[in-house]
Amino acid sequence: MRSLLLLLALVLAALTGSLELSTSGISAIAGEELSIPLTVSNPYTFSLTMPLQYSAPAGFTGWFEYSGLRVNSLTLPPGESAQLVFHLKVPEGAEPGRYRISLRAFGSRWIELRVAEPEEFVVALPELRGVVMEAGDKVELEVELRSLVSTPLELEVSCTTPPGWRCSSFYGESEVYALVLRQGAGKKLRLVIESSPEADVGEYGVELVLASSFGRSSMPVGVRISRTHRGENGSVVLKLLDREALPVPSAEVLVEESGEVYHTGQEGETVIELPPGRYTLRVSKPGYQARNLVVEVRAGKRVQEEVVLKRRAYYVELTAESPVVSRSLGAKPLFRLRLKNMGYLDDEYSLRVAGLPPSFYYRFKEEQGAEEGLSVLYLRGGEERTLYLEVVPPVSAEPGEYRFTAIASGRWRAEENLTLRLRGEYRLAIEPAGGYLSFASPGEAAELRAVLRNTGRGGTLTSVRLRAEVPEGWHAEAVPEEVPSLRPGEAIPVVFRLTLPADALPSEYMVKLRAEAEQSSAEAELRMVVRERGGAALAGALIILVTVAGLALLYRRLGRK
Amino acid sequence: MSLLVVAKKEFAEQVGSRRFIVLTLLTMLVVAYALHMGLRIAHQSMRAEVLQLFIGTGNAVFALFGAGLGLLAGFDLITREREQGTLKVLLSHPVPRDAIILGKAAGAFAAISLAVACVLAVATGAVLIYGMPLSIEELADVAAFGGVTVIYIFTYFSFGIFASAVAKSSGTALTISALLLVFFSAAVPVAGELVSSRLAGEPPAPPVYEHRVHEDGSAALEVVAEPDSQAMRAYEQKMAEYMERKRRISAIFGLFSPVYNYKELVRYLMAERTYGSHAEVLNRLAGFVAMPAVFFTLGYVRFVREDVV
Repeated sequence: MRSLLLLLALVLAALTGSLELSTSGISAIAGEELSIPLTVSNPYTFSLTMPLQYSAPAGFTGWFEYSGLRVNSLTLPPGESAQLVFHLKVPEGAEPGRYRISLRAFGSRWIELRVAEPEEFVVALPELRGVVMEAGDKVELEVELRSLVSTPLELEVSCTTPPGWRCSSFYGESEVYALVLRQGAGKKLRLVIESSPEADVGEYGVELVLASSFGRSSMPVGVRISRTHRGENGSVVLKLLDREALPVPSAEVLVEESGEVYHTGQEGETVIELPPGRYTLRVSKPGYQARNLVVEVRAGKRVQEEVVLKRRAYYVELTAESPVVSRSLGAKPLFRLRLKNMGYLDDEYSLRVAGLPPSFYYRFKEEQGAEEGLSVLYLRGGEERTLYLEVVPPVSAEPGEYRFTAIASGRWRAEENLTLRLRGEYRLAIEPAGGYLSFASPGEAAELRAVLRNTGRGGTLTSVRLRAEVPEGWHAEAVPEEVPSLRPGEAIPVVFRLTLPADALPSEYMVKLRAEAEQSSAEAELRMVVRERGGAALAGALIILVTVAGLALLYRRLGRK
Repeated sequence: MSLLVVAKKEFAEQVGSRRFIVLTLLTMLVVAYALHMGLRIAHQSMRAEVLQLFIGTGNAVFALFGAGLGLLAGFDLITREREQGTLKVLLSHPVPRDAIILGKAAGAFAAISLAVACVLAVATGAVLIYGMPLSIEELADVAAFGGVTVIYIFTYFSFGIFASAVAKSSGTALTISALLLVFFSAAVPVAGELVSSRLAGEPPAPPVYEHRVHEDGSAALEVVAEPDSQAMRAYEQKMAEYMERKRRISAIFGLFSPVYNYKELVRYLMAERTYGSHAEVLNRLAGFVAMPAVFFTLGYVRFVREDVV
């Protein structure tokens, strides 16, 4: 009978129920985990142990929790009740619709579960809603994202921008394209918006797009362009450094698209101005490994690029301060050279010259005035040294241009083409044949003989014109008046015929004999004494003679014996 | 008459002496050589410069050799006679003492004139050999130059004759003559220079715009004004005044210097008589003539009153 009563009570309990729910209907989204509080009570006068059960459509899973513990049965003393939580996990792929969930414990209840797509699953809170910038400028905005769903929310982050604009999202220092938001937790993103330099002045919109399994959400940001750079060129400031962070000067920068070549200055820097676009720059320098670099040039904008060039292990450079030297025959021309080991390893270089005529002698010297020659030179990596190449042309050398090559060979070889221009030495001399003093009388003709000589080396003097500079009123004539050519060492006699005016005052006069060739000139100064006609000299000599004789006679007569 | 006899005798003594002939020939040679060199380096037409060259060369040579010639001719004029004992013999003749000394002076003067004439004749001959005859005016200038030169040499002769009258021996006479020569030819001009420098005051300082001294004090740099600047012109004006002051003072001392007077007078001749004022030239001429006159007079008086033992 007792057993029968118990069974009856159970059936009643099951029918009437001792399970209380706060709600009979609940909404959820796919993947959501629901927590449904419930109260279980024992209305009877005896203790009762009850299993805790639920039934749900396939894919839905649930469990009961009591005092933080997962439970599947419950024993309650008579008249007692307990608070439990039923956890229900809506499957990820649950289709929207209505579902019935049944819970059993001393009774049964069912809950109508409505699974729907959430209207808002995330909130994006930007710091700023609208910014003003110049075309091509960049702005950073901070955006806080908060999840509106109870499940972890996987979001894909992207931007929609006007054409030519750029937009990126950063979390910390990292650029992100997807992230996960926990329920109730927020994340701060940095939204970097870079407008197109060619954007016209006006209002533009940029949208931060957040996509999840629940759909897409977007956050608009207004951008006002205050100044455009349309039609302007952009520039690239390229700085080249070596491994030691030292600037690399004189490097060549080739813009492959345009073929333009630029060179870096002493600070290793060059500024390249280009129309907007994408360019490949080829950076090279002897002794360094070349590098390619792709840069995007934006209108009106200056892009800073720093490139590290690696030195080669072995490389040498030989340069002449002045690769063309002109000297006169007989001189010892000197070329000042600079040998630089541009590799980072030490090397030994043998020095020689190729292309000089065999009769020419040469030697490399460390000092300009050094006597010792140099044939091998050891240079540390990066070291440079100044050298002197002395060329000694033979006595028989002809005037002309001599091209040759200075060579320094180590593990790498360097050459420098040099040119030596040997000039003939043009020197003209005119020497009076009869001394530098001559005599003449007024109205007479006088002849001054001279020798015209080419005392230079290697050079023939041409069109040698002769003339005499005489005092006013005198007449002078050179025979010949012109000598067509005078070879080196050649000498020819010439005559200057002077005619003195009849009224020339007896005195001493200066006569200049001049010879002017196309290449050189010479002159000789002679003194010409114009004597008084009528034997003034004789009278003078007579006076001296008479005076001396008279004195001697007087002394002889009066002198003490 | 006795004066003429003594003069003739003295002339013969002078001209016949070795030192006279050597000095005269030497002067001739030096003048001829100096002229020759001067003509060699001269340029172009030198017609206007011949006289200057001629007198300039002669002046430089005579200033030195002439002094020697005059001094050597006079210093033993009386002492020699005295030392040889011929003075007593001479005085025992009926010849007045003044005739002796005047005759000796006249003879020496004639010998000096002969020497100067010979030198100038050789110089004229040398210039003629170079084909440059002298005009009558130029010859007159040369003659004037010769006259001044004779007086110049006679000045030293008067030193000698004074010393000879005063001294007992020829050695002493030579010493006194040399001292007189040094005194009037060197000491007086030097003293004139010193006194004029002192009396003329401090020379004006050039206008200095910057005065830099090196940090170590080793050297100083003075930057003077530009040559054409007002300051520099004012400085030049002051300097010219200072120099003129100084010159006037030293000119007073110069009156007592035969060399100074001689050179100034010759310069007057060379500058075609445009050098200096007439008054200055006359003063100088007076000083130039007065000096031999004074010393000769002193010597004369001393000799006339001398007791010959």
